Amino acid sequence: MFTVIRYSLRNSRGAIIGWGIGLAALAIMMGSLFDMMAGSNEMMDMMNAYAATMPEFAEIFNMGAMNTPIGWLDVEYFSFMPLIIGLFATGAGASLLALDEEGGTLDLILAHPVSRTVLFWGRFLANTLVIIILLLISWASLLLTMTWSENFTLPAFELLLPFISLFGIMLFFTTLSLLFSMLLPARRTASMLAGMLVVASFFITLLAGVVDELERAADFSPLTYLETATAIEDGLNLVWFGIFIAIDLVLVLISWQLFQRRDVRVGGEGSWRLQDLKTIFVKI
Amino acid sequence: MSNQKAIEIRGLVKNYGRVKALKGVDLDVNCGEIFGFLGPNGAGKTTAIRCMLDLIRPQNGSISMLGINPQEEPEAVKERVGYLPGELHVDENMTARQVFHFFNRLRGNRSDWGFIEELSERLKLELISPIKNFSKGNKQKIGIVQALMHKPELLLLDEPTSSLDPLMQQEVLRMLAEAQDNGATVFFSSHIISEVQAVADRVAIIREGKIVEVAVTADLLHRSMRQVRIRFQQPTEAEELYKLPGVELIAKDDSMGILLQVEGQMDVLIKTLAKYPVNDFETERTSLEEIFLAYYNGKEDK
Repeated sequence: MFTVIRYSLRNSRGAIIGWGIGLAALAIMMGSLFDMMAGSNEMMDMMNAYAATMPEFAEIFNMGAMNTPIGWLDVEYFSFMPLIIGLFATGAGASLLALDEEGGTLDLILAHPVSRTVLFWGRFLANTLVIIILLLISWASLLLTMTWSENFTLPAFELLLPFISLFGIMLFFTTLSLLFSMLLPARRTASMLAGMLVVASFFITLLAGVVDELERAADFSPLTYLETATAIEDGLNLVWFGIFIAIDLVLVLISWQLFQRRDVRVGGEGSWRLQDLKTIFVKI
Repeated sequence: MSNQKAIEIRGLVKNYGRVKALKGVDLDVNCGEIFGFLGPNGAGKTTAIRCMLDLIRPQNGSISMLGINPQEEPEAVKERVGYLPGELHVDENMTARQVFHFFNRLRGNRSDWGFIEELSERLKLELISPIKNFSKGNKQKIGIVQALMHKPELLLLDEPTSSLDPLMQQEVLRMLAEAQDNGATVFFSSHIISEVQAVADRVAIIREGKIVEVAVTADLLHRSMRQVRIRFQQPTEAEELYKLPGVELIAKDDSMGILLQVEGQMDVLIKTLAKYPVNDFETERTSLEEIFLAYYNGKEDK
């Protein structure tokens, strides 16, 4: 298991460095911009003008709260962060095993005395670790910003809580994408489908506050349950976090069973694997 | 060579959707032998090998590898087997050395690094360059070294000499013979018949998912057809010759020469031929290639 995790992390070095730099830059930029916002009366006047003339727009982005660090982060950082890291999560989930299978390298790895279970869970744990590392880089970058910012200050632990909430939801998209990769003919199709769900969830959640027709749909949108400002102020809702972790676990267990049963391809794209799913339900 | 079976396959069936890749394969490979698995592309060679390693699951039939069922204990089988896939794909950003380190770790660091270097040196394999700069032949060498490096009891090699130059092909065949000398069983698929003929103790011929022949290579060659070229001293009508049982006229060079194909004993032909004034008589045993082609042309359909 350790060799599989180590090898997977080694292969993720580029992703960690690339995404890590990008996410750190985003966090530092957003944290630093708060000083400009908080110290500018003109900016606040502009926000108030938005609220007066375009109340729906102001409500979507919670503009009234932007003069506090929590409100600023809620609006400017955590609105877009799930979309950005969600696309990473879906790509990583779909590539977890299907990338090697399509590249033909899985065949030779599995010809060695490493069980499918060890390979699957080793890869999954490594991928989960990569997501955690990226979220920690983002959190640490915000903390770093606080060292020079005059106005942007938040307690470190409380600031970690939205990232924990984000982790549960990102893991959901990773495991969903992984499941798709076990069922669909190609990794790209799986990644694209899961990515579309991330984008759809983002817009449904964003617009549900002002479009009444989307309120019911928002109940089924994972990003609706992302806690940002509320987590910092009131603590993490462990029930929802637990529900997401449970769903993640179910999805990953189904994927694991599918991987146990599947014929490993020599390379290239395969065919639909929905019949594999049927075998699991028949067994249950 | 012991009688214990290294590979025992019964009624193996594998379908890919509507495509029937294996239609009930039965095969026994004895411990310590070099076994050639002949067949053209698409005959089912790779499918059979991948079933043996539990990379794909058959719909029916049973497999025993070194006495172990690979569907039940795949790791126990893979522990003792060295495998070279027909199409070798490795992480091309790594060097050959890193690939061997990785595979060695997956095997619990069982391999002797000195042996890995020795194999690499014999194959003139560069260990420290990134694989993405390698030619197809050099990538194949990586596959051969990783299959041999832990000195497995059973080698499953899918077209081991493909992409290699003739000198390297000879070197690989020597390595297989040495592995056999050290007690290993070698099962290799190929469509290069000359190499199977050169090293295999026994061969199986697979056609359209079915084994059509399993035989000791030498026996197969001996009991097979021969070609007999006869040159008479004068124009001769020797219809009597090719009407003999097991004799078939292949060609007439001119009125003085004929080419016959003879199946079985030569005795009757030689005795009959004694009546004729013969200038020259040449006999040539059919190569494994011709036998193989005969199966594929349906002449020896079982």
